[in-house]
Amino acid sequence: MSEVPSLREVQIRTARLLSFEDGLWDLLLGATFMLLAIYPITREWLGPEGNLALFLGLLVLALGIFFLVRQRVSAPRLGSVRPRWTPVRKGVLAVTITLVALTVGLVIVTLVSPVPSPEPAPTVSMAKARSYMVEIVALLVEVGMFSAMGYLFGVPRLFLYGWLVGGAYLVSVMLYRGGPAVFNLPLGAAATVILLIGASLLVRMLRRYPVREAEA
Amino acid sequence: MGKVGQQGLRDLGGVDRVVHEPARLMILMLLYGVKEADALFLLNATELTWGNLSSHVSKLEEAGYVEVDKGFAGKKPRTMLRLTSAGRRAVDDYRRTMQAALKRQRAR
Repeated sequence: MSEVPSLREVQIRTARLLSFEDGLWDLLLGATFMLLAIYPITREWLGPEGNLALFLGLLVLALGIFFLVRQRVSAPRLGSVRPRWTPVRKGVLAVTITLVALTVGLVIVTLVSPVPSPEPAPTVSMAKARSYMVEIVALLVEVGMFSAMGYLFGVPRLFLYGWLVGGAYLVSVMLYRGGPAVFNLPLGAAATVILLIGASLLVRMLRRYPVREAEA
Repeated sequence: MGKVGQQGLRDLGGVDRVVHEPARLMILMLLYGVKEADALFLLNATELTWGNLSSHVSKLEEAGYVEVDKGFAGKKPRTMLRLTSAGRRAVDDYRRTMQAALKRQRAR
Protein backbone atom coordinates (compact mmCIF):
# COMPACT_ATOMS: atom_id res chain seq x y z
CA MET A 1 0.00 0.00 0.00
CA SER A 2 1.76 3.15 -1.17
CA GLU A 3 -0.52 5.73 0.46
CA VAL A 4 -2.71 6.10 3.54
CA PRO A 5 -6.35 5.73 2.49
CA SER A 6 -8.07 9.09 2.30
CA LEU A 7 -11.25 9.48 4.34
CA ARG A 8 -12.52 11.95 1.77
CA GLU A 9 -12.19 9.36 -1.02
CA VAL A 10 -14.11 6.81 1.04
CA GLN A 11 -16.85 9.35 1.81
CA ILE A 12 -17.06 10.31 -1.88
CA ARG A 13 -17.34 6.64 -2.83
CA THR A 14 -20.12 6.15 -0.24
CA ALA A 15 -22.06 9.22 -1.43
CA ARG A 16 -21.66 8.26 -5.08
CA LEU A 17 -22.84 4.70 -4.53
CA LEU A 18 -25.84 5.73 -2.45
CA SER A 19 -26.93 8.92 -4.23
CA PHE A 20 -25.83 8.83 -7.86
CA GLU A 21 -25.43 5.17 -8.87
CA ASP A 22 -29.14 4.47 -9.47
CA GLY A 23 -29.89 7.51 -11.68
CA LEU A 24 -32.91 8.50 -9.56
CA TRP A 25 -31.41 11.86 -8.65
CA ASP A 26 -30.93 12.57 -12.38
CA LEU A 27 -34.51 11.51 -13.12
CA LEU A 28 -35.82 13.84 -10.40
CA LEU A 29 -33.70 16.73 -11.68
CA GLY A 30 -34.74 16.08 -15.30
CA ALA A 31 -38.42 15.86 -14.31
CA THR A 32 -38.18 19.17 -12.42
CA PHE A 33 -36.67 20.95 -15.43
CA MET A 34 -39.24 19.36 -17.74
CA LEU A 35 -41.97 20.81 -15.48
CA LEU A 36 -40.29 24.20 -15.76
CA ALA A 37 -40.14 23.77 -19.57
CA ILE A 38 -43.91 23.28 -19.84
CA TYR A 39 -44.90 25.89 -17.25
CA PRO A 40 -45.43 28.72 -19.81
CA ILE A 41 -48.14 26.60 -21.46
CA THR A 42 -49.81 25.45 -18.23
CA ARG A 43 -49.78 29.04 -16.95
CA GLU A 44 -51.74 30.08 -20.03
CA TRP A 45 -54.33 27.41 -19.23
CA LEU A 46 -54.48 27.60 -15.42
CA GLY A 47 -53.31 31.11 -14.47
CA PRO A 48 -50.40 31.83 -12.08
CA GLU A 49 -52.00 30.39 -8.89
CA GLY A 50 -53.37 27.24 -10.54
CA ASN A 51 -50.06 26.74 -12.32
CA LEU A 52 -48.13 27.06 -9.05
CA ALA A 53 -50.44 24.52 -7.40
CA LEU A 54 -49.95 22.12 -10.35
CA PHE A 55 -46.16 22.62 -10.30
CA LEU A 56 -45.86 22.05 -6.54
CA GLY A 57 -48.27 19.09 -6.69
CA LEU A 58 -46.30 17.41 -9.48
CA LEU A 59 -43.02 18.18 -7.68
CA VAL A 60 -44.31 16.56 -4.48
CA LEU A 61 -45.51 13.57 -6.53
CA ALA A 62 -42.08 13.26 -8.21
CA LEU A 63 -40.38 13.44 -4.79
CA GLY A 64 -42.74 10.77 -3.42
CA ILE A 65 -41.95 8.46 -6.34
CA PHE A 66 -38.23 9.20 -5.91
CA PHE A 67 -38.22 8.15 -2.24
CA LEU A 68 -40.49 5.14 -2.85
CA VAL A 69 -38.32 3.79 -5.70
CA ARG A 70 -35.15 4.45 -3.72
CA GLN A 71 -36.55 2.54 -0.75
CA ARG A 72 -38.16 -0.33 -2.67
CA VAL A 73 -35.82 -0.72 -5.67
CA SER A 74 -32.41 0.82 -4.91
CA ALA A 75 -31.94 0.00 -1.20
CA PRO A 76 -32.43 -3.79 -1.63
CA ARG A 77 -29.78 -3.69 -4.37
CA LEU A 78 -27.25 -1.10 -3.19
CA GLY A 79 -27.67 -1.36 0.58
CA SER A 80 -28.22 1.48 3.00
CA VAL A 81 -26.37 3.53 5.57
CA ARG A 82 -27.27 5.88 8.41
CA PRO A 83 -25.11 9.01 8.11
CA ARG A 84 -22.94 10.27 10.90
CA TRP A 85 -23.71 13.90 11.67
CA THR A 86 -20.33 15.58 12.00
CA PRO A 87 -20.22 19.41 12.35
CA VAL A 88 -18.94 19.70 8.75
CA ARG A 89 -21.79 17.53 7.42
CA LYS A 90 -24.32 19.62 9.39
CA GLY A 91 -22.84 22.76 7.80
CA VAL A 92 -23.04 21.26 4.30
CA LEU A 93 -26.67 20.28 4.94
CA ALA A 94 -27.53 23.79 6.18
CA VAL A 95 -25.97 25.37 3.07
CA THR A 96 -27.75 22.86 0.81
CA ILE A 97 -31.14 23.54 2.43
CA THR A 98 -30.57 27.30 2.08
CA LEU A 99 -29.66 26.94 -1.62
CA VAL A 100 -32.65 24.68 -2.32
CA ALA A 101 -34.98 27.08 -0.47
CA LEU A 102 -33.60 30.01 -2.50
CA THR A 103 -34.02 28.10 -5.77
CA VAL A 104 -37.58 27.02 -4.93
CA GLY A 105 -38.37 30.60 -3.87
CA LEU A 106 -37.09 31.96 -7.19
CA VAL A 107 -39.09 29.34 -9.12
CA ILE A 108 -42.26 30.24 -7.20
CA VAL A 109 -41.71 33.96 -7.85
CA THR A 110 -41.26 33.14 -11.56
CA LEU A 111 -44.38 30.99 -11.64
CA VAL A 112 -46.69 33.54 -9.99
CA SER A 113 -45.24 36.66 -11.63
CA PRO A 114 -47.57 38.48 -14.08
CA VAL A 115 -47.51 37.28 -17.69
CA PRO A 116 -45.40 39.76 -19.72
CA SER A 117 -47.19 41.66 -22.48
CA PRO A 118 -46.26 40.32 -25.92
CA GLU A 119 -43.59 42.35 -27.65
CA PRO A 120 -41.17 41.51 -30.46
CA ALA A 121 -38.34 39.21 -29.38
CA PRO A 122 -34.95 40.94 -29.46
CA THR A 123 -32.51 40.05 -32.20
CA VAL A 124 -29.71 37.75 -31.04
CA SER A 125 -26.31 39.36 -31.48
CA MET A 126 -23.11 39.93 -29.53
CA ALA A 127 -23.85 43.65 -29.51
CA LYS A 128 -26.78 42.85 -27.19
CA ALA A 129 -24.63 40.82 -24.80
CA ARG A 130 -24.94 43.48 -22.08
CA SER A 131 -28.71 43.09 -21.97
CA TYR A 132 -28.25 39.41 -21.03
CA MET A 133 -25.89 40.10 -18.14
CA VAL A 134 -28.32 38.72 -15.52
CA GLU A 135 -28.80 35.53 -17.54
CA ILE A 136 -25.05 35.15 -18.09
CA VAL A 137 -24.52 35.51 -14.33
CA ALA A 138 -27.30 32.92 -13.78
CA LEU A 139 -25.54 30.57 -16.23
CA LEU A 140 -22.25 30.95 -14.35
CA VAL A 141 -24.02 30.36 -11.02
CA GLU A 142 -25.63 27.16 -12.40
CA VAL A 143 -22.30 25.97 -13.83
CA GLY A 144 -20.56 26.82 -10.56
CA MET A 145 -23.15 25.06 -8.37
CA PHE A 146 -23.27 21.88 -10.45
CA SER A 147 -19.48 21.85 -10.92
CA ALA A 148 -18.96 22.21 -7.15
CA MET A 149 -21.34 19.29 -6.56
CA GLY A 150 -19.63 17.27 -9.30
CA TYR A 151 -16.23 17.90 -7.73
CA LEU A 152 -17.39 17.26 -4.14
CA PHE A 153 -19.08 13.95 -4.98
CA GLY A 154 -16.73 12.90 -7.80
CA VAL A 155 -19.57 12.77 -10.37
CA PRO A 156 -18.29 14.22 -13.70
CA ARG A 157 -21.72 14.30 -15.41
CA LEU A 158 -22.80 17.12 -13.06
CA PHE A 159 -20.37 19.45 -14.90
CA LEU A 160 -22.36 18.72 -18.09
CA TYR A 161 -25.66 19.35 -16.27
CA GLY A 162 -24.45 22.79 -15.16
CA TRP A 163 -23.70 23.85 -18.73
CA LEU A 164 -26.88 22.21 -20.06
CA VAL A 165 -29.22 23.88 -17.59
CA GLY A 166 -27.43 27.24 -17.49
CA GLY A 167 -27.07 27.32 -21.28
CA ALA A 168 -30.70 26.32 -21.78
CA TYR A 169 -31.82 29.16 -19.51
CA LEU A 170 -29.73 31.72 -21.42
CA VAL A 171 -30.87 30.49 -24.86
CA SER A 172 -34.53 30.33 -23.77
CA VAL A 173 -34.40 33.96 -22.56
CA MET A 174 -32.85 34.97 -25.91
CA LEU A 175 -35.54 33.09 -27.84
CA TYR A 176 -38.69 33.72 -25.84
CA ARG A 177 -38.30 36.99 -23.88
CA GLY A 178 -41.48 38.94 -24.38
CA GLY A 179 -42.82 36.36 -26.84
CA PRO A 180 -45.96 34.23 -26.65
CA ALA A 181 -46.18 31.37 -24.13
CA VAL A 182 -44.76 28.25 -25.77
CA PHE A 183 -42.99 25.08 -24.71
CA ASN A 184 -39.48 26.07 -23.54
CA LEU A 185 -37.54 24.03 -26.10
CA PRO A 186 -33.95 24.57 -24.81
CA LEU A 187 -34.93 23.71 -21.21
CA GLY A 188 -37.04 20.77 -22.50
CA ALA A 189 -34.05 19.50 -24.49
CA ALA A 190 -31.73 19.82 -21.48
CA ALA A 191 -34.32 18.02 -19.31
CA THR A 192 -34.64 15.25 -21.91
CA VAL A 193 -30.86 14.68 -21.95
CA ILE A 194 -30.80 14.52 -18.13
CA LEU A 195 -33.83 12.17 -18.08
CA LEU A 196 -32.20 9.87 -20.66
CA ILE A 197 -28.95 9.74 -18.67
CA GLY A 198 -30.96 9.01 -15.49
CA ALA A 199 -32.97 6.26 -17.17
CA SER A 200 -29.85 4.60 -18.59
CA LEU A 201 -28.19 4.74 -15.14
CA LEU A 202 -31.29 3.19 -13.55
CA VAL A 203 -31.25 0.33 -16.11
CA ARG A 204 -27.52 -0.16 -15.54
CA MET A 205 -28.05 -0.28 -11.76
CA LEU A 206 -30.86 -2.85 -12.12
CA ARG A 207 -28.58 -5.05 -14.25
CA ARG A 208 -25.40 -4.58 -12.23
CA TYR A 209 -26.92 -5.00 -8.77
CA PRO A 210 -29.49 -7.82 -8.65
CA VAL A 211 -31.50 -8.34 -5.46
CA ARG A 212 -29.54 -10.81 -3.34
CA GLU A 213 -31.40 -13.56 -1.53
CA ALA A 214 -28.68 -14.74 0.88
CA GLU A 215 -26.82 -12.58 3.36
CA ALA A 216 -23.56 -13.10 5.23
CA MET B 1 19.36 4.67 5.00
CA GLY B 2 19.52 7.46 7.60
CA LYS B 3 18.20 7.42 11.18
CA VAL B 4 15.03 9.25 10.17
CA GLY B 5 14.18 6.63 7.54
CA GLN B 6 14.91 3.75 9.93
CA GLN B 7 12.57 5.25 12.56
CA GLY B 8 9.82 5.42 9.88
CA LEU B 9 10.27 1.73 9.09
CA ARG B 10 10.27 0.75 12.79
CA ASP B 11 6.95 2.60 13.24
CA LEU B 12 5.44 0.54 10.44
CA GLY B 13 6.29 -2.65 12.33
CA GLY B 14 3.95 -1.57 15.11
CA VAL B 15 0.79 -1.11 13.05
CA ASP B 16 -2.31 -3.03 14.10
CA ARG B 17 -2.40 -6.10 11.84
CA VAL B 18 -6.15 -6.50 12.24
CA VAL B 19 -6.58 -3.04 10.70
CA HIS B 20 -3.69 -3.30 8.21
CA GLU B 21 -5.25 -6.07 6.05
CA PRO B 22 -6.61 -4.24 2.92
CA ALA B 23 -10.13 -5.72 2.93
CA ARG B 24 -10.61 -5.06 6.66
CA LEU B 25 -9.15 -1.57 6.26
CA MET B 26 -11.72 -0.87 3.53
CA ILE B 27 -14.55 -2.07 5.79
CA LEU B 28 -13.29 0.04 8.69
CA MET B 29 -12.85 3.14 6.52
CA LEU B 30 -16.34 2.78 5.07
CA LEU B 31 -17.83 2.43 8.55
CA TYR B 32 -15.72 5.32 9.87
CA GLY B 33 -17.64 7.85 7.75
CA VAL B 34 -21.14 6.68 8.70
CA LYS B 35 -23.16 5.92 11.83
CA GLU B 36 -24.01 2.42 10.62
CA ALA B 37 -24.25 0.54 7.34
CA ASP B 38 -25.84 -2.72 6.23
CA ALA B 39 -23.79 -5.67 4.97
CA LEU B 40 -25.17 -5.23 1.45
CA PHE B 41 -23.73 -1.73 1.22
CA LEU B 42 -20.32 -2.98 2.40
CA LEU B 43 -20.51 -5.82 -0.11
CA ASN B 44 -21.12 -3.42 -3.01
CA ALA B 45 -18.64 -0.80 -1.84
CA THR B 46 -15.78 -3.27 -1.19
CA GLU B 47 -16.63 -5.68 -4.05
CA LEU B 48 -15.79 -8.63 -1.77
CA THR B 49 -17.75 -11.89 -1.85
CA TRP B 50 -20.26 -12.68 0.94
CA GLY B 51 -17.86 -15.32 2.31
CA ASN B 52 -14.90 -12.96 2.38
CA LEU B 53 -16.91 -10.12 3.87
CA SER B 54 -18.34 -12.40 6.54
CA SER B 55 -14.90 -13.71 7.46
CA HIS B 56 -13.36 -10.23 7.75
CA VAL B 57 -16.32 -8.87 9.71
CA SER B 58 -15.97 -11.80 12.14
CA LYS B 59 -12.30 -10.92 12.72
CA LEU B 60 -13.17 -7.26 13.29
CA GLU B 61 -15.96 -8.28 15.67
CA GLU B 62 -13.55 -10.54 17.61
CA ALA B 63 -11.12 -7.63 17.92
CA GLY B 64 -13.95 -5.48 19.30
CA TYR B 65 -13.74 -2.99 16.44
CA VAL B 66 -17.16 -3.61 14.92
CA GLU B 67 -20.64 -4.27 16.32
CA VAL B 68 -22.97 -6.48 14.32
CA ASP B 69 -26.78 -6.34 14.64
CA LYS B 70 -28.75 -9.02 12.87
CA GLY B 71 -32.35 -7.96 12.37
CA PHE B 72 -35.08 -7.69 9.78
CA ALA B 73 -36.14 -5.03 7.27
CA GLY B 74 -39.75 -6.02 6.74
CA LYS B 75 -39.55 -9.78 6.19
CA LYS B 76 -35.99 -9.80 4.88
CA PRO B 77 -32.99 -10.37 7.13
CA ARG B 78 -30.67 -7.38 7.42
CA THR B 79 -27.28 -7.16 9.09
CA MET B 80 -26.27 -3.71 10.33
CA LEU B 81 -22.67 -2.93 11.22
CA ARG B 82 -21.18 -0.04 13.14
CA LEU B 83 -17.74 0.93 14.36
CA THR B 84 -17.16 0.73 18.12
CA SER B 85 -15.19 3.46 19.90
CA ALA B 86 -12.25 1.02 20.05
CA GLY B 87 -12.57 0.55 16.28
CA ARG B 88 -12.62 4.28 15.72
CA ARG B 89 -9.50 4.68 17.89
CA ALA B 90 -7.78 1.84 16.01
CA VAL B 91 -8.43 3.53 12.64
CA ASP B 92 -7.19 6.87 14.01
CA ASP B 93 -4.02 5.23 15.39
CA TYR B 94 -3.41 3.38 12.14
CA ARG B 95 -3.80 6.53 10.05
CA ARG B 96 -1.50 8.47 12.39
CA THR B 97 1.20 5.78 12.33
CA MET B 98 1.09 5.37 8.55
CA GLN B 99 1.06 9.10 7.91
CA ALA B 100 3.99 9.69 10.26
CA ALA B 101 5.99 6.83 8.72
CA LEU B 102 5.34 8.01 5.18
CA LYS B 103 6.18 11.59 6.14
CA ARG B 104 9.53 10.49 7.58
CA GLN B 105 10.26 8.41 4.49
CA ARG B 106 9.54 11.41 2.26
CA ALA B 107 11.75 13.65 4.42
CA ARG B 108 14.73 11.31 3.90
